[in-house]
Amino acid sequence: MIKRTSIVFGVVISLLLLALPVLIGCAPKETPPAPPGKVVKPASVGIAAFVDMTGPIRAMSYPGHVGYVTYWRWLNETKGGIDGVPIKIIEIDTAYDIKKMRAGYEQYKSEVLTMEAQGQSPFFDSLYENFKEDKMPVYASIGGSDAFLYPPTGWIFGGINTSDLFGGYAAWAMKNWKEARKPKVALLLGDYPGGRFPLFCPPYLENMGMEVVATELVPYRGLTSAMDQLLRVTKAKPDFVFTTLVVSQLIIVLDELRGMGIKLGPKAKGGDFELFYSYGFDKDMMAAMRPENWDGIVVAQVSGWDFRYYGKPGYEFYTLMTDKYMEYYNVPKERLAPSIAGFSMGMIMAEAIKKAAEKVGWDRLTSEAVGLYGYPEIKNFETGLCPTISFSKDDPRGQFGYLFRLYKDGTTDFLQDIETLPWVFKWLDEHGKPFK
Amino acid sequence: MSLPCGTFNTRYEQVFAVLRTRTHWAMIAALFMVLAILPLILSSHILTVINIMLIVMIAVLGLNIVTGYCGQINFGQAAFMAVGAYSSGLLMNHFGLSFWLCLPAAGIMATLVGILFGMPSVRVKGLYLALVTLAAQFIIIYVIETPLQSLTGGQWALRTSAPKLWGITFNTQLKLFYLIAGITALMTFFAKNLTRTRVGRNFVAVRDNDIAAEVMGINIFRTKVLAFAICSFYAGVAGSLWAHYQRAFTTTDFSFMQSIWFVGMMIVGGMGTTLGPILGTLFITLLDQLVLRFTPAMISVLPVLTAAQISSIAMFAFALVIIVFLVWEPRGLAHRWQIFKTSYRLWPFAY
Repeated sequence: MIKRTSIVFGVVISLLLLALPVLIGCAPKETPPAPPGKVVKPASVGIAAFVDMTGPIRAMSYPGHVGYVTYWRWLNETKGGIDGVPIKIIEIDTAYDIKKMRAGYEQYKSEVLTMEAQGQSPFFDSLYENFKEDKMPVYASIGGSDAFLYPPTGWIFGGINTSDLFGGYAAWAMKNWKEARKPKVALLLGDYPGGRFPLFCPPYLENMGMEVVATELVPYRGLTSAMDQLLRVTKAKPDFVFTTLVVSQLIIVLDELRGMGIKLGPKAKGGDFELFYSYGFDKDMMAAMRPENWDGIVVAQVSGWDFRYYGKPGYEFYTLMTDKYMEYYNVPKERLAPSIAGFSMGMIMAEAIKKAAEKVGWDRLTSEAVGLYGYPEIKNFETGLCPTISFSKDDPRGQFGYLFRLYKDGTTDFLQDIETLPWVFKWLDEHGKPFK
Repeated sequence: MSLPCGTFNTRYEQVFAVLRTRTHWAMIAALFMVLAILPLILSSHILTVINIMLIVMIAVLGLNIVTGYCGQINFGQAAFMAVGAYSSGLLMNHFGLSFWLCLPAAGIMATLVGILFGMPSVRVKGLYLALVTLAAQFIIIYVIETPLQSLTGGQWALRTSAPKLWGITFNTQLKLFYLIAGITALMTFFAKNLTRTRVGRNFVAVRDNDIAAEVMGINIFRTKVLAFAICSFYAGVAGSLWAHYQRAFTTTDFSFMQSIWFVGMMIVGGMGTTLGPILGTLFITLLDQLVLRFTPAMISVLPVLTAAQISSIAMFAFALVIIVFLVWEPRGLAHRWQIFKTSYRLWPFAY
């Protein structure tokens, strides 16, 4: 009996080992060359999405991804893809594990025109040399833009750097600062790559005339208290607190601040300090917070939450996408909606592929073409969902402007019109300050 | 261990020989030939998977020495690997040392740290020792990220260069394969032989009953600390290889979850055997690759499900396979392989 089981087992293991090359894709697929004189569109083109679906930062990276795939699915359904060429999305669950990111990259790089990765800092850290070698343009929404790597590589696009947001908000704060003394600033940062960017901000902020009185990192462990950090921050008596906490942490922190008797808002109006948050809220985040807790907070808004600023077309498109998401995935209305940023990311990538195809033709469209003639040629592109997008090889940040919004008394106000954000890492580099 | 039919041991050296018969020698020669030739026809992707697997295999082999042979639980292997990676990277970046000096230096640095955290193993056992090594995991990463931030770059990636030897730069998956496979073979050979030495037998004695071992004259403190030291050396070497393989890495690469996976690979493969970590790493890596492919492959088949749902199903299946496997064969793949070999040698006879 044992013998038979063992033989079966041995045979199964041997078969698995023999099947390994087949299972993980031994030979890369090659596209047959187009007949001379005739432009042949491919049956489909691929793009890859690296996202943490089952790992530690799922809550942060997945909502954007859902919006992203919804957009592509809708585009394929209604318009047959880009210029009639369907887009095949290869969704890779990295579980925030660099081994999977590298293996996935090597596996799919020959099958796709471009890749996107959300909140996958190790992906950019470890593979940016490969992007250059393989001529693979990658779109990074958060936590991995080329600002990570100033001067830019030229192959990573998108993404906003939280340092730049703080720089922009600091400029606004200084413009409105009335007192003779320097304003005091505290940094309350989430302990994840995108959250830690502002660790290098102090020289920039001090150059603007601010005094950095505290810097605290809050470990990214989900729903845990940050009371220690908050006590040290409040003890330093700042006028402004800049924070990059992830939403789940922020909800706890706002609760704890309220418990400490802290009131958000300018000191001149009876507040303890003004709290600036690097990411915008959407209605689902708002639903998870007590209204009295977020009273007085200022946020950087990637898109108009109520679309007052961006107008009707954006709102209609957002509604359409949300309905499509619910239809495609059979999601009840009351469930969380996908992130708006995901829709706009899809639109930007589609524009890049379209521009590259126009330049070199579908039959000669490669990842290199998308990197050279796609993204860098996007100028003043309006998605209707986020500020105007413009890329260049020298500046791959894409978005330069953000809205700052104040939540007060159950309503919201825009603090300023869209203004160009500073490029803090560039400033640090030019002034000989360490930033990496 | 049963020998092939007609093979008898007449000298002690024969009893202890790793390769006992001509067939064994022929098989090992064939294996090396396959390892030399096969990479030339494999895709870059498969070589990537194999390279990563081989580096992990070294770390798991080390873990097997302290846990499988010496019975001391260790949940901090990834952190010891981090010590090796950062030591190697910093020595190369700051002192311009060659990879060939950085590699052993990384092993030695990890060994020193391993000794430090191994010392409590004399006083604490079982779950308490697990907590000590758990603390090692978090303390080491914290020290790298915060107090040593100015040196290591903290949470930012530490960038290193590819290994070089006689003008050859190991910067492609193929070249790296030969380098990593060679070092893995050496480390495996050392691990296999270690277990057949006095030290190895001391480890097993301490694992089976440390009081009895002490009564027999084995220095428990020295034995346990030595096991941690060797285990950490392996982790350090694996870390150094990882650093120069990746050429940019952060502490994220050495998370607590990695340490857990190392333990999982060792258990699935079979603790207390040299073959176990090899089979365990191979098995888990294979499953991992299947899971990685599963989501993109199934999305068009199950359009009503999101990628996350499909991925969760894959992870569930992954866990289920491991659970079923451990229920079916708690002593791991190596034991099952041993049964298979024994049965094969007796076949077609039933005795």
